[in-house]
Amino acid sequence: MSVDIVNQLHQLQEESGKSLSPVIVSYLQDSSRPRALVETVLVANGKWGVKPREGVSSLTKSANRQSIRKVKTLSPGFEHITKQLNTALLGGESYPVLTAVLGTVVGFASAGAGLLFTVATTGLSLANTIQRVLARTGDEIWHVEEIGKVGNKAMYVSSYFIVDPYRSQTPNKGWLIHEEREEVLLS
Amino acid sequence: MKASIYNSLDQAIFLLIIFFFAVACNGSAESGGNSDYDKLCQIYKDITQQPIDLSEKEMKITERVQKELPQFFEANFVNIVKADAGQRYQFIKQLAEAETKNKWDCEAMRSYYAKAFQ
Repeated sequence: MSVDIVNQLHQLQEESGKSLSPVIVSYLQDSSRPRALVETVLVANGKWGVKPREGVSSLTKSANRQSIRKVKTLSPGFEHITKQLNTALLGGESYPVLTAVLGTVVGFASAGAGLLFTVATTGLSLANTIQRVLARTGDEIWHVEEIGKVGNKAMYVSSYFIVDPYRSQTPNKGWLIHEEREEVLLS
Repeated sequence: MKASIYNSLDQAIFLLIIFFFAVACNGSAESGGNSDYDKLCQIYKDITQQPIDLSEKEMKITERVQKELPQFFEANFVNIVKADAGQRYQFIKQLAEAETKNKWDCEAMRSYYAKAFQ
């Protein structure tokens, strides 16, 4: 069955290489339920893994392969955290502008007070779109997750974006700040 | 007279040694022993009662574990922190008991995961 499941997954694009420290991610993530698509398991040999939250067969439905949610607003009073995030973002790397690939992989749509994402796939290939980004108070952090495949392996992608909902001159922009991948256990 | 003073002193030192030995042998997670899991418990005791935002507590805990227990952090905690809050205590307890071969509990941690995330 796992071969059939893997065949139905989208091929992921190249990994972005953008990575924040686990300490910063532990602040940005949804503390209660950090991952919507997968759950963490401790397997018999003491190794860690992830498996689909709704079971392997659920991956035939696209709703169980993608998740996007706002997880944080960088609020006033937490400038020390924003400063820490910016220190990490200035760690020698530039960060890509997501909008450069909106036409091909990710779409945004304004709705109400915030931004809603309509995601085709988060397979990120952003290496050619370089721009430094810094977080500001009021910015939002969005968590985009996807289960796709690399070769014949099912892969879970967890990625975080900074979105500024108020920056009128550059509406609907998000910046990828972190991406990580893990193979999904299908048995 | 002199001999009696020395005897009393010896007895006092002996009792002191017994006392410290008893305290050391009783070193469970709750009483602040020396295993990585006891140190982990102490980190939770230190941070969970601080009057700060939940996300900030999570970050401070992660930061301290990375700094003070780097091997445990790399091997386990980076995965534990990504698990649902409701699973994390059981994961840590499971690891602690498998490694120490003893029953292990940390009330500060158990209570934090049971109550703070509701």
